[in-house]
Amino acid sequence: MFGDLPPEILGEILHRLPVKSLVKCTIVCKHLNSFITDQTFIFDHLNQTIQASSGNGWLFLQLYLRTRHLVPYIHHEEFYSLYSHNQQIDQFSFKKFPLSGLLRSYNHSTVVGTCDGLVCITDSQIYHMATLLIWNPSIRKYMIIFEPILTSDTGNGQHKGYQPLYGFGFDSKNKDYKVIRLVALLDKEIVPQVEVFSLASRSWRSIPFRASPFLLPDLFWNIPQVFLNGVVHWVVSRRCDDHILNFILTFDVVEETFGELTLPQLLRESTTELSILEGGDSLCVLHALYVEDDCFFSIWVMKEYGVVGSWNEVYCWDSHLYKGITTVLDLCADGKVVLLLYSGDVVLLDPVTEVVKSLTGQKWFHAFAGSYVESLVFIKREPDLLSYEFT
Amino acid sequence: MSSSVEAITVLSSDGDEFKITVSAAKLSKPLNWMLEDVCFSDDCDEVPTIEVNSKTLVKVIEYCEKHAPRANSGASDSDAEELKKWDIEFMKMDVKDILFHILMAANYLHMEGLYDLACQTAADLMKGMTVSQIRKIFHIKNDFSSEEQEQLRRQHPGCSFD
Repeated sequence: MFGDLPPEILGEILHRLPVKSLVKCTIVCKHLNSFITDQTFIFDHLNQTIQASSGNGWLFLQLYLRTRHLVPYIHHEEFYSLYSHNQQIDQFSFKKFPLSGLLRSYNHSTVVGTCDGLVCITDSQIYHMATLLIWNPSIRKYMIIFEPILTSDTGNGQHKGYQPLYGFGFDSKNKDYKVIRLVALLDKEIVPQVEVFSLASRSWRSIPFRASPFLLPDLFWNIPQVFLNGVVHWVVSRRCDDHILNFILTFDVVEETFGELTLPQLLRESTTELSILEGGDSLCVLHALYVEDDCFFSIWVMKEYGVVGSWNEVYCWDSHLYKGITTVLDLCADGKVVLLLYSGDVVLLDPVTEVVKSLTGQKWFHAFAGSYVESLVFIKREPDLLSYEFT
Repeated sequence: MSSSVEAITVLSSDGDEFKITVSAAKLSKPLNWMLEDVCFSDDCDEVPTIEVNSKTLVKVIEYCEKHAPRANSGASDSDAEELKKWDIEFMKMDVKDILFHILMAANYLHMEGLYDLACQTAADLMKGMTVSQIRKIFHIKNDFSSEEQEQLRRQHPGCSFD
């Protein structure tokens, strides 16, 4: 019967359905199945969902539970949650998505980033490479990415400590999702080796690094990335005479080229922690500023993308506020801010009204927050796409 | 438009004649263009054909006549509320017999409001329904082989196939 309708009418009806209903429709009959799993429909649906949710999308959270164990990394509990922070309903739908222990070989897993409803996760950024995973929580499918080219055995089989830098983004020209991986020796300013994983071709490929060498921040946690305007961004630094200069390293996902963005003066020369943050449609940097015994978190926004003069400090919070801020996790498109507090609670702060809303109600010791949108990417059956049962 | 008449006569694809007021006909872009191009007067014997069957055309005209006053003059909130309720009642129709024809007619006649309403109605009929309910409402046969069904089950282990 749906076969009698012109495709534009069928599309118009189906675009109004949430992903859960569309998954069900793929089981109804062959015509609906092939219509919904078609690339054109998947991307049209995604664009409409992004437009409709503009300014009040969803939030993806990854949380580790606090434990009393001596070795917390091994005994921790890990959760992934999706929140809809639609202002109209002013309610949070809380869902837990259990995932198998695939990513727990050494350590906790780290979310590289979210893009179009896909979440890219690695099992560790400190030790040598193991597993990467791309996951669509809305349709409960994921795929494991094969070993990259560059592992600890690359070269002369020498074991060297290195820090990988990951990025995850969408190549709009080729309609392809890509994971980028830069591998650099710790504490050495060298030219990193670079490889790109293409989801369309399911393979890794080495590409040249044509940019000035840089230094990775020596963090024993992950180095955050932000995918915005087709470009992946990280905050890194470079040694310049006797001091350090921070800047934003960029990677154009379509062209596969590197570039740089200049930070505002204060951040450029800061010796304290800087990290890139999502800020709706803008690029933001979080700056932890220490004044004697006090710590302040300030947020800088690049109001006009690429224009150095448009950097602006928009917020500055004393870390003692709200009974203690551990860090700022995310700036939502609706202007709200996700904070991790000393108490272990993850909260949503409305900076205008200063209303604080607890998202998790539990004590966590680490959290990741990123924007999220329901999408159908991965709906089409592929041999390497794995499904799991929701319990 | 230089029309001096308040209503025009149109033919359905079945050849039946229907009256529609000028203000209601304006809700359709092609009909509105026709009204601007053709001089309708009492002695005009030209009767345009609308490629929509009689059963559907009756419903389309009913919708137009109901919505025309608001579309032409704007309406208060209480009117809008009343109209919304009317729309819901109006859309209670069989999917196969009439809703699909309304969708096609609204698309063909460029009637944004009716098209949007009909699409939303069809979507709402699918939302929250089980697979077999959707098949029943839309008169769809399960055309998957048992092998294909098994494959789908493996792909969506948490999804109910009933």
